Amino acid sequence: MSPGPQPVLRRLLLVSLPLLLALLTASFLGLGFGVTGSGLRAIWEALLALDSANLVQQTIVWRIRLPRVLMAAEVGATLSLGGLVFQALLRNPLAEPYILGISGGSAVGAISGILLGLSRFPGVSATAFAGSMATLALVVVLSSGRQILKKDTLLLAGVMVNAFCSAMILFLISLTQDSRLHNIIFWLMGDLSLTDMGQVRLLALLLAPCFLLAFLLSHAMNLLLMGKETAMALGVNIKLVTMTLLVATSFMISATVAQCGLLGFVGLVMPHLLRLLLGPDHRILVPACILGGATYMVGCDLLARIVPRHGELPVGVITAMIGAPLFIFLLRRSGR
Amino acid sequence: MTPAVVARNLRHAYGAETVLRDLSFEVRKGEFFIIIGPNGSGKTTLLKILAGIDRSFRGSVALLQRPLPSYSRRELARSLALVPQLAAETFPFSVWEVLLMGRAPHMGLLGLESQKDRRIAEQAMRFTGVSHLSHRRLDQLSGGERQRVYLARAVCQEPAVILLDEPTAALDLAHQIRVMDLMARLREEKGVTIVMVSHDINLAAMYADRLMLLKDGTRVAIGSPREIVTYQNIERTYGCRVLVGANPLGGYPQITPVPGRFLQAAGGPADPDPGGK
Repeated sequence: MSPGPQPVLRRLLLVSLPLLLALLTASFLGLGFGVTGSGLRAIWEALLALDSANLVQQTIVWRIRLPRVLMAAEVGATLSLGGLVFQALLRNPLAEPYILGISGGSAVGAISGILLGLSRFPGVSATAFAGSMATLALVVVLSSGRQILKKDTLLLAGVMVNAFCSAMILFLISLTQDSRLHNIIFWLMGDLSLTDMGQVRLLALLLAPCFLLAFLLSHAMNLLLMGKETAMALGVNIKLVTMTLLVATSFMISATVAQCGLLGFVGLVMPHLLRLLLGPDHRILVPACILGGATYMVGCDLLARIVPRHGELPVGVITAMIGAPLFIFLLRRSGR
Repeated sequence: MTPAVVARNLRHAYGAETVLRDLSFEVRKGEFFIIIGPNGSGKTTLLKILAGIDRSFRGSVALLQRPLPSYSRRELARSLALVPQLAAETFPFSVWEVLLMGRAPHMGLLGLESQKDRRIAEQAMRFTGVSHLSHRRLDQLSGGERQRVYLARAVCQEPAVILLDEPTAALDLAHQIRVMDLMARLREEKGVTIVMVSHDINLAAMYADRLMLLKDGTRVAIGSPREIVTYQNIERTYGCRVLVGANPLGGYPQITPVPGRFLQAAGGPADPDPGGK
């Protein structure tokens, strides 16, 4: 008699705990290192608010590095979860908000917002969301007459829309003459450096319901992978599930893009890596992508801060430089 | 006997192309009902309508004495299971995971299984003879093994009616017979109504209680295999010459399509009905 697999909840725990530990470790290191290096001991002292820790160190750790680490975690979790959801919905391992042009669309929206002189929230977030929804609608319409989620046409449409968005971004940049130019370009490369706790809290508030929704619909995503008709025959309201997930994902992507610019490859690499390690069950993968993506981004941000001898790199450079080769390696491993 | 499925005046069109015209039929409870007909006769569309997947039809369909549109998706999935045509694409779910998916309409949103769900999945595996595969991954199985896993998943749903779309296509002989035997046993032991679309008339004639012959979205004939599988019916519907004889097992009609060279040798026309459509 076969005992069957372990119950989902136990597997979830077995996967989440090590990932959580990794995230905490990465965050701890993220608090400990930076442009003004302070070492691990100083961190302990600052964290524990010991008397020997001086005020400057405390300020650096709590006011500058903590929001930055938290922001990196939020953004990494969002991008990686976004990739996972899109890959499930389109049944295509190459789908990702970045590649489908959703991120590009939010970027066009966000830059327009910046140029109009709107505040980061709600102004730029709203224009970014509008941009992402517009591209999502465009991609869906372009790729379909009847069938919403046909694989290759959707990717092709995404590539085209993405190219168009890139042109729009360059166009907007070329119109800009003043100091905003540097801001925009650095933001485009993916920037976590201008973060305060207010933004972190706000973003967390916006993301939490999206994460919860993705987890609640994770079993439906499993069923969707078995094919549209099978999913329907197993009781899934696929129109509702698909639209909910598309909108929630686009919303959370645009919220992070508005905050931090374009960060590529996180949404491809993390879901692939975790699927290879953990299998295709989305009830496991959704939490794993949230934790794993957060860890990856916190780690990349740490590298961005400590690799250069002076100043720092935009974190988007690091995520792409690590992510692209890693993704090619994973693609070859999975034999697709 | 009460009907499991009643279809009245079904009409369906994809744009300008009419697929079903005024189709009416009944499937009795506990019946092995097989729909045959040439390509493009509307068989698959009909199955999608019965499965509640395609809802853009006219006319009425009742499942277990209740109009089909009155079912929610989940309700429907508890009464009716679908085994679609075997797709080439698979994801690396384990056989266990796939079987438990069959319990989805009986479980909560997250699909957390209870002891009862596990027991039902184990029973379904034994019933379909895939227990030894339970820990294998779907993408490592042969087509025939996968088809049996999908049948097991349908059994897990504990439906009153199972719809199958060409379940034996692309399977080798042994697997074809296994699949058909399984359905026959399912009907026998659990009283499940089987509605199947098939291209294999000889196989269908050996298992079906009744056959329905479709052409251009209309019913050509409905009845026992003996009544339906006649050379007149088959030639009229498929537009090719066939011989109908007795199956060596006895009692079942068996058709033999006639290759063109035999017809030319006999001097007859290859097309049985050169004047008509």
